[in-house]
Amino acid sequence: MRQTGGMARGRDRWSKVSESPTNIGTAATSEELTAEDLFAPESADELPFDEQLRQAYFWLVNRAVISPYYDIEFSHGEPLRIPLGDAGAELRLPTEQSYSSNVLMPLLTFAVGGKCLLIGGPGRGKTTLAVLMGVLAGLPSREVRRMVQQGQPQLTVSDLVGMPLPKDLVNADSLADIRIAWRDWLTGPVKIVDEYNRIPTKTQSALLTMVAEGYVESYDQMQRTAPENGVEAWFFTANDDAGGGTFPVIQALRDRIDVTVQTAGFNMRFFDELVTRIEAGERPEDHVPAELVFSAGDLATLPKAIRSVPVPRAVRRRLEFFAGQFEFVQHGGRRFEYRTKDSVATAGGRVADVIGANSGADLQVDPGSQTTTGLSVRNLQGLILYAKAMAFFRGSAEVTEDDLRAVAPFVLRGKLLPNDLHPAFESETGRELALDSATWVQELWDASVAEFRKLGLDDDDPVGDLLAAFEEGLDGLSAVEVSRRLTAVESAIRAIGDQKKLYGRHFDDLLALKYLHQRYANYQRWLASRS
Amino acid sequence: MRTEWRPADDVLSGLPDAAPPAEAAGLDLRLAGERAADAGADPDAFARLVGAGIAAAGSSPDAETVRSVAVVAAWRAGALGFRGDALARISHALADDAPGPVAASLAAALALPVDALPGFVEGQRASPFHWPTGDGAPPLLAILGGFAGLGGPFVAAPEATGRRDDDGLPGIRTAEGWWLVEADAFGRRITACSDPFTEADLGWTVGGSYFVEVPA
Repeated sequence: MRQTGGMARGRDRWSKVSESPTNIGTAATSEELTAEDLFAPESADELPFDEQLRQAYFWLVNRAVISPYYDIEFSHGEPLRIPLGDAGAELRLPTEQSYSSNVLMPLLTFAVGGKCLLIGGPGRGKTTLAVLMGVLAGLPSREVRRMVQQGQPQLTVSDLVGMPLPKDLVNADSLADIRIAWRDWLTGPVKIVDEYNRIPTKTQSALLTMVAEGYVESYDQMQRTAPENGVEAWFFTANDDAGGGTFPVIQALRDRIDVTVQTAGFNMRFFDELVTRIEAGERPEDHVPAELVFSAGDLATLPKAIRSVPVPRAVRRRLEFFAGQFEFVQHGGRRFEYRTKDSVATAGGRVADVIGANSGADLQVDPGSQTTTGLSVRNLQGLILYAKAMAFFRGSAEVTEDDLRAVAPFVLRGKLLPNDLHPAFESETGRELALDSATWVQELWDASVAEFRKLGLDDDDPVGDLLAAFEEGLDGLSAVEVSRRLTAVESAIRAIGDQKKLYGRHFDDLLALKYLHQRYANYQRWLASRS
Repeated sequence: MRTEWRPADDVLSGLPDAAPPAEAAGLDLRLAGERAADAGADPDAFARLVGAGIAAAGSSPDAETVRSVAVVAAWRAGALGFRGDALARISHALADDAPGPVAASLAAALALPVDALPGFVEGQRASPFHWPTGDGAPPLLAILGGFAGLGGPFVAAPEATGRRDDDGLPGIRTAEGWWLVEADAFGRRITACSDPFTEADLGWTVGGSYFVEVPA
């Protein structure tokens, strides 16, 4: 059952939840109103999911983990920028509601059933934040703490998933007869693995099966870990994501992480609250207000509501354009299709060297040359899912460019890797970017959107037009029309080829044009065979 | 939003001194008042106008009349979003040859005499700023906007005016972008808008402060 917004509040200092709407911006619409808006049955007792999420967010940042950081910024137009000192620093004051990434991204992970890696030095609240997510899912705080898996070098698969029953080990005639005493944490809606980079490689592989496939195997027995209804959220913690830890994290497991978030330091101006907690001997996870807790039914519905937020075509086109910048590398192979960073990496070459050897493009204006990796389908799925979650959280009816821009640094951290040899990282400000992956990714996004606008691709997109014409179908197309379209495809390829410098954005366009050429040519042959 | 809006004296003055019942015909008027206020209506004006409209409707008004009175009162009290529904309901009430009790209650909710109702609807169709004043002069002067730090919408001062490309509605440009302005004789809304606008001189005074003056 949905929790009500009108439950008793103000019982103690922990229970204070925002009583006014947390995002008044969503009420400022220019919609027409009718009598129904005055007299519709009161449903205020049942908070909408997005409002409940926002209330949970504000309770977390203001009451639980005290995070007065607003690094996920939203502004209508340009924010107010105030220069600080003589080292090029500035503080931006956003004009719309902005958020703290180290709380919001874990909360969105909880809402969509994703996988979040929290990184940061010891004692910065990574585990506390993850435990709070477990409590928001309706589990008692003591149980959530008990279910936290502590990564350590001797952690075995049995430690992680459970033991075979000793009686069965003695009496069983086959593996199928051995029952496993599965551990409770496997079926929880929120799973927390502390210091996952201290877990031995073999145990990491068992973890990977759970994370990737939603089940675990032991002695030929299988246990489903994902709930029948709804989704499971995973939280991993590590002191860094740059290869530290006792064991290297296997790449497949690392790649399953949807978002990586750095925990923020404590702001000493909020010291009084810390002292009060010490004096009272209290922990925030023991005091989560009941109205913020999501029931099992809510957790089944919430991800569906988030996934249903539409991504308009104009926003999709910007994402396509951005993501298309990174796969292509000139001289990455002989055949055009193979000129990719993945070809270089899988052949044992150094992508940075191949990029550096390309004299045909201007590295300064080519975002693709700043990275040694491209984006996988999984990365793109993560981007879309978290952008939808961000739009839902902000109360938007559809995903906007700003939502994608906001989540990109956290989804692409550790996936879009910087090319350290690129001139962009040589200057003083460039060296700052090399250390600040979030800002670097956001600047790549901004540059890509600016280029998209400069090229006028919203209104003038010849390749898009050809694809759209093809999408209308081949049925009934005359031989003359097919021939005309083949000519149009060839001339579009030549138009790109005539440009001296090729960039990542041309790569997908050219391969799409080749695809169209194939489809039309096949159809033309079929028409000829019929006649 | 802190927006000064100075309509002609007789739009503001002469509001009836009536209090509405908490409910009528099974409809919750207290809740309707809260929602009208959320939509931008002045709560006190809404209460007075609904009270007058219900009183004019007789001892036991039907639910549809109460709904119409509330919609008209909400619009008249400054909630611009109800304009379309309110005008439709008034027109419907005037459709009979002789204005009946529903028209009388809607006129009361507008604080107008019932015989002024047809002219009012006609005038509103011609201009959303119409209000039947004695001399027929354009009655309105508005000051829109305000600094965000003091409750207004703007972080940066207004720089220019213009019209939205698709429907010609007026807008104000600040360094942040365009803001759509919707207004009529009773209320106004200013909302951030990403639609394309074209700069145009609307005759409004812009520059030097966070407010925009709309002359009579």
